[in-house]
Amino acid sequence: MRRSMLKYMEKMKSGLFLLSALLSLTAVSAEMNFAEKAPVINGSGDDPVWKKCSWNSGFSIYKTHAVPKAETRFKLAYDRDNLYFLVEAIEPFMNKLSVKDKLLQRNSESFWMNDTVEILMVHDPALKFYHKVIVDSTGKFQEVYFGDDNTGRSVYTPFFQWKSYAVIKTKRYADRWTVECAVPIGSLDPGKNLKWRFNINRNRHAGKGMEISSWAKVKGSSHPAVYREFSLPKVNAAYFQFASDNISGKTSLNKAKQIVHEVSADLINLTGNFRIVQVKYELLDQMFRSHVSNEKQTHLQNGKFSRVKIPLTNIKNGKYFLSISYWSPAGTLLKQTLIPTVIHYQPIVINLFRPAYRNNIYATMPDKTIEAEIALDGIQTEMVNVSLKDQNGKALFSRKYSGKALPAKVSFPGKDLADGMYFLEVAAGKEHKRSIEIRKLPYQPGEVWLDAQGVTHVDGKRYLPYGWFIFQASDPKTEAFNSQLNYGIGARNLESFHRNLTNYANVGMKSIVFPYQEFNGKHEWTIFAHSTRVGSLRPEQKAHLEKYIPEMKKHPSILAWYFADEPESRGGNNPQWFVQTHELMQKLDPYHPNLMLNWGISGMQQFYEGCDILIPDCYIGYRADGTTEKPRWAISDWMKAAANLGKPAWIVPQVFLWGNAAPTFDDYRAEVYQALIHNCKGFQLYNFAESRLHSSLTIAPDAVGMELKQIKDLVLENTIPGAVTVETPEGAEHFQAGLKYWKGDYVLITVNTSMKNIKADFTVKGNVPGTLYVLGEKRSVKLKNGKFSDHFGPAETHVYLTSRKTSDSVEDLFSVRKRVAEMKANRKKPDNKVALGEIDHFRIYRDWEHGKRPAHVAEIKGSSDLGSWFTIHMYKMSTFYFLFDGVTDHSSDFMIWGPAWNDRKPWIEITLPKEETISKVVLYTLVSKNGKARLTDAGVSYHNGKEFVKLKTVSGRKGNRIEITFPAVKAKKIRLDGFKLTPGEPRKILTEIEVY
Amino acid sequence: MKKIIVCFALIFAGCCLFGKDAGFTLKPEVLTKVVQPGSPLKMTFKWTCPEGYVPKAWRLVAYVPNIPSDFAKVTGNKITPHKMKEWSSVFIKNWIWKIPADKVLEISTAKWPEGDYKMALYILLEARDAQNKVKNKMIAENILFTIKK
Repeated sequence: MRRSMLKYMEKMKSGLFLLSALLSLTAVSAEMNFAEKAPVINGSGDDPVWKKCSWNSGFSIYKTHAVPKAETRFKLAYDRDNLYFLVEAIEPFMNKLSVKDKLLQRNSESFWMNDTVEILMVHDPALKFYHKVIVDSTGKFQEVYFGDDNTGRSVYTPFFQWKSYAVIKTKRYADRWTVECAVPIGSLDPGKNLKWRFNINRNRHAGKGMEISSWAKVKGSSHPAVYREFSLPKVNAAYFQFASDNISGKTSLNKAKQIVHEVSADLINLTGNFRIVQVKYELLDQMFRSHVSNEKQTHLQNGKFSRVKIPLTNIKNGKYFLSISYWSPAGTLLKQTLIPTVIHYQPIVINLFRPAYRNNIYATMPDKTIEAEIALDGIQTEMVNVSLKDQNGKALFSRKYSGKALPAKVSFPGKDLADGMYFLEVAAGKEHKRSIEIRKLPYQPGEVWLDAQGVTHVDGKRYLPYGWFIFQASDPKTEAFNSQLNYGIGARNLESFHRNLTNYANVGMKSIVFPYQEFNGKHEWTIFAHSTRVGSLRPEQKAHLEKYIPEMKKHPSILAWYFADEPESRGGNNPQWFVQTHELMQKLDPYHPNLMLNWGISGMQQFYEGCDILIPDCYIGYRADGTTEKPRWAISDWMKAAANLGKPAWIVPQVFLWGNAAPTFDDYRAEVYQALIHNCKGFQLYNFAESRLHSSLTIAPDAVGMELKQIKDLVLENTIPGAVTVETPEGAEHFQAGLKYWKGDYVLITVNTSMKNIKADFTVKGNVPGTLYVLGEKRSVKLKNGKFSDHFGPAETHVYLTSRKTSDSVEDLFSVRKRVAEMKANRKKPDNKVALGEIDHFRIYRDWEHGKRPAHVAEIKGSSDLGSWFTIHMYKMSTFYFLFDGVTDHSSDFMIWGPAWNDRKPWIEITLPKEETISKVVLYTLVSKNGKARLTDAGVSYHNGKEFVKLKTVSGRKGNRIEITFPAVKAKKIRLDGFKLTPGEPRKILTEIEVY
Repeated sequence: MKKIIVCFALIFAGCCLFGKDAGFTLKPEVLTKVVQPGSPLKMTFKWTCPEGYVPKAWRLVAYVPNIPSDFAKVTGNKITPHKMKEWSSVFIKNWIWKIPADKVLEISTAKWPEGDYKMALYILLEARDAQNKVKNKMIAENILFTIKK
């Protein structure tokens, strides 16, 4: 091999390198060789499998695709358990290799500044995530998991919370260095469908200047869509299909006075076969060094779960990663998960049950009792004194317990306590003392608190948040909605901030807003810029919050603070920054919870400590053929992940186009009810503005919201664990079901997450009546010994209630589906010569504007376009084609055309696909609540081949429909002008144009 | 009533032959837990029993959900169906009336598919009472093993 390398170098020197590179490019057919015998990982690459493999070469510089000065080549192989990589980096300046060994941490974003080779592994067909191992010449390596940042731009966010279990060795020679690596397939979280792609990047710093090259022709280091595809036919994806769920841990002291953390987790076998699994729990420090581990073998049939409890002994208090890994008896890694874990042993355990939220007693709490369970862990004492003290240390109530009587529940009345700070203090002998702070708060109008189940209460009443993102106070608000989440940070002062909240309050909406208002009228942050959130909360940020939050919080319509919007994708936002801000905000404003929005489970795991409520978005990404980008049951996974982190959760359902088809009524309904099964306590729909493009999303959110209003108290309750079991046919194993109870009534929520027609057999425990009525379906089911069966269409949801009256109180589901179909059909009127109807892939309007327009589509242009944030920044197109989409009275602001501010003689010109006989043009405008139409006058002209000839002008119209009729003419091109806008009304004047 | 009596008698008889009895224990051990396909599966066992009992025969039975899903199809072994699917079984090796002196039991895994297995090893113990009458006791425990290249 060495001789061949020298020959290769000679080629480079003799100028044949270019030819060689070209030849290798044309011959690139990187075969994925199957290793009958696994290579010995020692950096040498002298195993039989490598001899069988050919080199892959032809690296090029990012973006420019120029040939690098130092060549890199590699070989790939695999077996059923591992991927194998052998990389050879030619290096004329071996003595200048960049190795900043001591400076680099495992999670350093500067790792690539060493001379490194990057191994990129992709298997997700939707390219939603991939893995990378970066190796330097000393063998030090970094493991990175990349997740699509959910913005539709194919931009990926790095997460350093992945342990690959890779075996990696490097070797240095006189003129090159090599990397040999084995990566367990089980560490890559392989799904059922695998589409493998690989690439190698090289970050070279040893020569003059930096040289960053890649095997694939990439634009940057993160560009998986162009990585070469490979076939690995002998990898059995089913072999790795395990799930880990319901992870919990309990910390205590054992008899040897060692801290023990007992971890329990459900292992679920989805592999299709009986399996024997070695379960390993391990605590890793921040550098992934193992502090303690323990393991146990379990075995389980397909479709069954096994709850595995393993103690981890002799540990210290601190922050760790809990590593849960599953191994086959032959030592193959099957699955691994890392969860941030805090071990905090306390010899005195105080579990405060009441008050359940933030240790605060609110004026509107019906129950003001202070109740806690007191226990000792690892210590013994004869007497334990429990007391409630005021700020001056005066004991108001005291109880004494024999040490042997613990654990014991203690309760003190809080009703007659004056507002102020109190301390629940537990003293165990003279040695041990612990106290927790409890606040009794004065009433604030609109105060918000959570109960023990995480249910939101506003002014003491149970509240189910159901609201919109991107909703203007002037948008049509319906009864189903009660809240809005607002990105606004542009208020000039406190007064305008409060005025904006009042506008929403006036239409019956509570508001969720950023607490980071800088009051300078700008729409971007300076004090709180994302780049400032990389470390601790800064003194100027603290001072700003201390100055403004006490005033901002006073508005009675604030529902919660929007703490962060996908901080995992905001350039190094530090979870600890949010932890510190959360702590400060709890003191400054005890009356409103802090919400944290993440786009995935990794993000939640990173940021959950910095909030009261997790509100992840989980966009399923629907496609026209019924398939989805994320599995339909991802909603359940997201909610369960939040619960595992011990936080109440709301969710952001997908109410816009993500994928290539908008969610149907049933898709949306399934999302909402699936979340409720897993104890979701609120919904903020993303988003109102874009929802108006689609008939299903114009109707479904309102229809489902009206259902929730009828069963609010039932769905706010937590699902009763284990109360319902379901048998479903093969292919529907992710069916979701849950039973809830509230004041004598039950609700059984069931969701078919498959796209199959199925029959499900239910067994319900408890005193559920013999007849259940199906919400919105005007039918019932009979239970016999708690059992019944029902049929489900694809993605269909059935909600069973004990109250017939409630079940019949909502619109029939068939009626809702019919309304959606009718709205969609009516958007394309048969004789309208410019009608487009509903187009899911509306971004195609941009192509049409640039002339790439099908022959049947009319051309539309105008003198100017006022535009909006969506059209200008998001879609990068004008408003004109929205005027043909059939939406008249429920257009969102960005779908409405208006002339630019400086356009004094606005006009719109339409060129029909062919010459037509026309006699009528209908314009649609909007009528404000004050009865004034935005547009009152308009005229129509046609082009006679030489010039535009006026056909008709109308004026003084008052309604939203302006019909302009004229004697029939043959025309291909028409012009609308003479627009008269109503002073004082919004400048967006046209929602639709019809030509007959 | 007659049916009840018959059932009771069967259960009683079963208990005599195969009940959990404090005096009888079985601890099987698979000698190689990961077996190469086609290689023999070897296991040994330890047992406790009242004086006088000796192992006479052994057999190996698997419930269908505890072996690779394609086992019966690949090997041609017959499944004994049960109305509860999870109780359907495969008799891997019916009674072999010879226990080797070293107590190492061996069975071919030819054609067995790769995967994880749980099987029940049954040992029949035999003794003679004072009247030289034969007494039998069947004991069983599970074994776990993997077949993998």
